[in-house]
Amino acid sequence: MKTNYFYQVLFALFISSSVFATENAVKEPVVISGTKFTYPLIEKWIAEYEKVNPTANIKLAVKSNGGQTADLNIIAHQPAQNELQPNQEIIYTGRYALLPVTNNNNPILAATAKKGLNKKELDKLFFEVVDYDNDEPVQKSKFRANIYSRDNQACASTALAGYFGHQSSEIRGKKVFGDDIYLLSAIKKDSIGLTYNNLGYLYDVNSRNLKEGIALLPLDLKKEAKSILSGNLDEVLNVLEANRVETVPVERIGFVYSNQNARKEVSAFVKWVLTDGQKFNHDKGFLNLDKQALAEQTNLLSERFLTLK
Amino acid sequence: MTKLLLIIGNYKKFPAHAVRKTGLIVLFATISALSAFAQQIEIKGKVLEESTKTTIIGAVIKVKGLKAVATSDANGSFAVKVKTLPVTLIVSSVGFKNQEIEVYEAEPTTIYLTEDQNRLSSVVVVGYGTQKRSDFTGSLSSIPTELKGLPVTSPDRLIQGAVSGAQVTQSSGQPGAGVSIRVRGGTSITAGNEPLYVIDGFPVYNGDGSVDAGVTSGSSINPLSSINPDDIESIDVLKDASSTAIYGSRGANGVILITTKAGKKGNSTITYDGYYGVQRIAKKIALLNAKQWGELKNDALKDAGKTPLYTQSQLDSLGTGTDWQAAAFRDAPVQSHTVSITSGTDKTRILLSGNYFKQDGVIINTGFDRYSGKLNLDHELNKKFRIGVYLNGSVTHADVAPTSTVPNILAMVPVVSVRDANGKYTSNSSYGSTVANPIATLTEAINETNTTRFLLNGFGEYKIIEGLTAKVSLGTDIINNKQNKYTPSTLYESSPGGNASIGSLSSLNWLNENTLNYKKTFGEKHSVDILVGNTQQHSRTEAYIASAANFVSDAFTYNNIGSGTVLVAPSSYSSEWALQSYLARINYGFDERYLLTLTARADGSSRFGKNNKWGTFPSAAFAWNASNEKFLKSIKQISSLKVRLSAGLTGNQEIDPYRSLARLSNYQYSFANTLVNGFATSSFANDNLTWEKTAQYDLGLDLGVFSDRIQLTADAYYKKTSDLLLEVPVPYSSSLSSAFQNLGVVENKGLELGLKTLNLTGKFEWTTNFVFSANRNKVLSLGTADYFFVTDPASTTTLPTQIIKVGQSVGSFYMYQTDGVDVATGNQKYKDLNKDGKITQDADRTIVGSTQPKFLVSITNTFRYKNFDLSVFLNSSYGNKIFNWTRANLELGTGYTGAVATLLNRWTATNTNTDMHKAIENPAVTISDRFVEDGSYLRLKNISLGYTFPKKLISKIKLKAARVYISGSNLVTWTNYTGYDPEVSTNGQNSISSGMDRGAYPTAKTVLGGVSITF
Repeated sequence: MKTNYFYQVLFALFISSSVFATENAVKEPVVISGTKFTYPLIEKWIAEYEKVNPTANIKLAVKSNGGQTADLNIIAHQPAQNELQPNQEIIYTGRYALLPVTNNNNPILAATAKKGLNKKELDKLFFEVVDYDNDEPVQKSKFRANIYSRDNQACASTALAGYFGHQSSEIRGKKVFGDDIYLLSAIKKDSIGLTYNNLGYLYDVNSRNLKEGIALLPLDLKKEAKSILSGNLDEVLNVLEANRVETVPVERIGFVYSNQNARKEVSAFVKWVLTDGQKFNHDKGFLNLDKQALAEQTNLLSERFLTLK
Repeated sequence: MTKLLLIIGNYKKFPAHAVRKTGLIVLFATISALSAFAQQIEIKGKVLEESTKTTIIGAVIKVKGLKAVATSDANGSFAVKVKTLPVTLIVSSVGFKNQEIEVYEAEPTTIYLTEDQNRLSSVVVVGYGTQKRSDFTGSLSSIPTELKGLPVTSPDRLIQGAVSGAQVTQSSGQPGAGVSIRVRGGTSITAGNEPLYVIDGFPVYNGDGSVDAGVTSGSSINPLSSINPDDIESIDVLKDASSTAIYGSRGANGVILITTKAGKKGNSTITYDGYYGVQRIAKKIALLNAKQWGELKNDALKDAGKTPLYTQSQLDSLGTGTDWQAAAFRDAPVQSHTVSITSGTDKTRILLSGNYFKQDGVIINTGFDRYSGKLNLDHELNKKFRIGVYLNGSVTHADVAPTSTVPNILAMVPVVSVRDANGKYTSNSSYGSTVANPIATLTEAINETNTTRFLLNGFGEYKIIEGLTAKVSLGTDIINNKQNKYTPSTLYESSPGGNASIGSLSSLNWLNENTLNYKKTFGEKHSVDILVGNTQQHSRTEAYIASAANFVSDAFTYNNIGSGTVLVAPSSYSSEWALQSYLARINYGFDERYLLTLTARADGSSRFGKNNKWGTFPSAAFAWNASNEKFLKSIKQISSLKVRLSAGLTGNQEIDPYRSLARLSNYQYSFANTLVNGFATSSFANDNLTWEKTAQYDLGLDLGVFSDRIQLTADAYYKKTSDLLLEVPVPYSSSLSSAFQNLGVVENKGLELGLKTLNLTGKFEWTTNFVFSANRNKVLSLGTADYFFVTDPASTTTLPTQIIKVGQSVGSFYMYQTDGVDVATGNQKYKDLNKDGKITQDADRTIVGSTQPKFLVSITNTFRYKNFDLSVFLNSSYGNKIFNWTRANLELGTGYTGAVATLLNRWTATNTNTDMHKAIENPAVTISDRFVEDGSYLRLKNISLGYTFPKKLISKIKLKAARVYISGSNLVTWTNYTGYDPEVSTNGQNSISSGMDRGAYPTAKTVLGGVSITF
């Protein structure tokens, strides 16, 4: 036990770089950790929150640490059955969309320009089902592509696979370790490279335009959603918030917290994110929760925290 | 953070006490090491299996474009150092898909590998281990998945048409009967020609006699029928010298590696596989009906100047008479039920299965049934030590159709009824030749064989250091065969009071194998896999037969032999052999482009002369993975290209034990009017007796194009077998007629093609598997002789049909050539080859064909649409000849026995323009090319239609998988052969007297429905 405590303390030292004093003198920081592609949004939330709450002390862990020492862990996929501890809860605070993207020299762009890919074709392109019982025949896409994806445990991989009814291990191709942003580095080097990514990484959040060297894979879209392929970040966000688009996976992001050692500083921050914080989602390429979901999450938060001592 | 990790990492490298004692030094060392590492980035991680999240040990992690390489340890952990990021890691492990990973940040990573979907095609079982198919330098064929599930009695039958270079002949339609397999032709004349079977590491020679105590009459039961085909995971056929040399003195005829299913990590599953079907005789032989036979009888009698048997009105009243084929054949059910349970944790994997198989024969009162059980267990005691056991036990029972059954069914004259007016079986048909009533025999006689077989092989495997593994295995094969025969007194063929015989054969075969295996990759490009080992195998067989006749009652059948008043001399024997071996194999690979395999095995066998107990069998193979060359990598159409070249020497030790020794046999002779026993020499000693040696050369090509949508494997080979073991005639003054010596040379050369194409992908998928083999066999030398005639294995008399002759193939037919029917007399004419005006055995016989096929072709088309699958398997043999002895007997036209319907077109005074001779009372068959028939055939071997239930649907009723199917076997055969079936060999595995149809049990066609459910 003593050793464990020592490492926890040591770890907290590394991640916070704050001065460690007695518990009563300075507030222990609220530590947030998790899926990295959400960090730009989380950082924005923290910065804006600290503007209105100068005494708040919220830190974002530099590296994903398995969620053992953080107060809040960011999750960006549907948790598997036993993924959460019995005492853990999720409060959802936003959404993100995944778009298929490729090197802007990829011949697939011309081949699919007339009629974009539908959900089934995307499925064939991205996934390969390994089934030893020969349940269903192996279907291969007619397009040649090198698929890049994050490791199987990464949130976006899990979300993408889940949307198409697969396991993340069934995504074809090469893996990229580090961060979802590197998927774009990989396809920029490979003329037939193909990947998916969230809007915050696909678009330059300042200019609101698609980043250079990459192109969105043409999708089979209905009239009202056509602007996903051509519009700027804000247009895309608006279309996706207004419509359910079959070819575009949209997944929620949320904070996992343990209701055993939840602190008031934590609930205050989450509550702010659910209210005032929402207006910064678009800024970083994330979708808002719809009104009903937002109300549900707010209720959930107050219910859970009201029961706390 | 990185620094912290490094400190911890270094700390772990030192034993704890060392740290305590020399903490300061370690600290300094760490600090200096840190500065050395300052410019290096360490990528650390773990390699896990995706589905079970268990560690993968020995996965190779290479850094693309750099020399750095690492291997995952017992915890699955690895660490590799690089100077800059990003880098690309290539992670590979046998049986898993390669994973390419681009690393942009050096955070601890977990790499998940998924099992290779085409695991069976990417990994092959080789002697004493497994290898990546791409690294394999020899010639090997594996049974494709789509043909693995065919409903067959024994696993060796799955090989037919499934792989190139293997000729599989089902010798008889008797349920449970054996098959004969020739891998790249027969190398031997008198010794065994069957390949060596290695079942879960245990080498077994599948000789027909190994489960035959010698009492039961009729087809031998296949020793491999003790194994449930549902238990088979893979069958790999090793063909060239490089791959078989590891089996040394037993490798010349090819090696068939049978691997049974093992438990898997993960959730426990229970699977039921079952089918039920009906078999029907594929074809009946058209025979004369009663009236037609009566006319033939009359004609034959008239021809001999005798009074006809029937008046015209009697003839008219005969009608169609008895259809003996209809009386003997039936629609027979076949069923199989297998329940298997698999389970596995990180450390223990288990598979338990049980099977009940019952096949009734299409001939009444014949059949085969089997109860078998299997346990495969594998347990890791700790990270270094693993143990395992393979256990297969079975009890089989067969009611066998006696040899005379089919000849008698056909020879019974149609005017004789099955039962007489009192309802009792008619004893026989006696119209010149007496034929016992086969229906009575089948119904009342007992002719059965019962085998209990227990095959057990256990091993312990210890990892001494990383890459070096020691393995010790100990196994046993215990066979107990009991045969019972009883011919009741009511049957025509019985002696007075009935005949009873019992026989028992028990054999105990044990095996110990000790191997050391070292696998290592040096630098980035040099990989070695070295195997050395020592094995010993010993076998002892004991058998006896006891018989008696003339019992007071038939009630005891064979169970009270002592009560027979006529005792037949009992017999017994025992036989023992042992084999000790040393083996070594080195596989070296450079950059996955150049692959070299060197193999050698030294065998010491008890079977050979004292001067030649030991033999060494070396081989070498080289393969060039051309597709891994840079200049070919740019050609995207070529996905794989490998050229293979191998040469080596293998042996054949399949002769009876003690053949090198001078032996005495007992003979009876009369002394003072009393019969006494004495002993005399029956064979000479030959201290120099040694192996038959086969030198084999193989040139092969493996090509995959368009992402392996088209995969071609082609092999050309040349095999020359010398030192053939032959009985060489010696002067009678020596007291014997022959001596067993190493003389003679046989060659086999051939071409093999395997082509697998994925014709359509997408919703509708279509794959084709095409297999072609052509082999040419030729006798090059028979020592001092130019030819010899073949001895009939059953009667030990010389067969008048076949010859072994220099310059010809083994299995050549040697006989008269017919020259039509004499228009004037109606007699069969023969060609006078030497034009001396006489037809003589010595001068007018010639070679008229061979049992060796010119080529074998099979093609399997598999279609999938949604959840439906359809597979159509066509198999063919072209150019082989069959001597149809059955027809020769039925075509005599004597009127003594039943006769074929073609005799309706016989020569008569009014029908002279015919090729069918007249009715004539000559009961001897003149062996001629008239009865040599083309045995070519094309057969719809199997057609199966299956439906797999969608997982979403069945998961609602808690099922993991469910499939139903219907399957038809042998439904259509296109052939000109007039007998029951062109796939026939009455003499079973015997090479020199193969291709003979002497009343073989007919093959059935089968329609069945099956289900496979996994819980």
